[in-house]
Amino acid sequence: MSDESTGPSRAADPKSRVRAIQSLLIEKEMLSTEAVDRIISVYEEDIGPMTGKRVVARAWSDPAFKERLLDDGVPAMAEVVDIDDETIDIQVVENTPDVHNLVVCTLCSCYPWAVLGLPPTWYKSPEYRSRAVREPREMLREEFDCDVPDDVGIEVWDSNSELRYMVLPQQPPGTEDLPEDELVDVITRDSMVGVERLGEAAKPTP
Amino acid sequence: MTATEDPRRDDEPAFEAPWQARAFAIALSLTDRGEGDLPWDDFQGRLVEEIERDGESIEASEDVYYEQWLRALERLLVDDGLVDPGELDERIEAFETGERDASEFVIGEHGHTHEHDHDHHHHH
Repeated sequence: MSDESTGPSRAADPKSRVRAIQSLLIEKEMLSTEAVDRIISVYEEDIGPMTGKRVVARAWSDPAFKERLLDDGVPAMAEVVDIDDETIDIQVVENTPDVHNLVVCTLCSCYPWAVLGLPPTWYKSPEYRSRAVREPREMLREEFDCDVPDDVGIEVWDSNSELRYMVLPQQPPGTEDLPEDELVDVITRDSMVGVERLGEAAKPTP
Repeated sequence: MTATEDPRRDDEPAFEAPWQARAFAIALSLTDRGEGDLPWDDFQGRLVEEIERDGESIEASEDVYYEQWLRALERLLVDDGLVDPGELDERIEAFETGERDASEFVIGEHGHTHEHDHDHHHHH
């Protein structure tokens, strides 16, 4: 293990290291426990994929909204969900019969937190970060059991600190008449990252 | 239909351990992505470096990721001169030995209400 320039006391328990930082910063009046607790509570309780699902459900139901959403993501989202307009720009990319979109952050873990919550572990793994770009079709099939037909192209969107991406999945056939509050049940987090295609499972049983 | 009641639903828990949540929230709180002034990019650049440093040598887990996150945060604070490495080590030691514990973060205890009306600097 190389300890050079990796900061103090790497051997110590992360719990103690985080507490030490919080304790010192509070003493220096750069941080408050209230602010830390508030952020934790927002990410544990308020922010999650339901926000993105409600946006997608509206886009499926309202073509004019969809147009606004694809044109300028965050202001359109604010019509449907409680979203801070100071939030990082989110570009919504639409799946079509010809194109399947896939979101990745090749460098670290940039992710549309505001609409999907915190990223799952696999999103942050080195395998996903490199394979999503190198061989997305194979990766989707082998790791996510997600078959993208050969005549459908795959576009990969590399997130960064300025711009995040969210996939607008295609609406599964047979769900056109569902109200928005039932459509949200059809939508999954993974479909908004692009590692799942909604379809067969959502078709009504005959 | 209760679909809109629970915003998390099919998601995994946000954090696997309280220290991960705390490390996450401190970084956010200090930077302009949250409530502070430090440029988020300064933090993120170090996070990228820490992730690169580990490379593919370790299997991905929340523990690994937040360890990288915590190292990035430590480096940012030290590099920006906001925290002195010596005082950080001392403070870590104090938590390791139990001389200090998390009760100091409980609002209202020990008079640690973080108001500006008391002098809390210990010069020895």
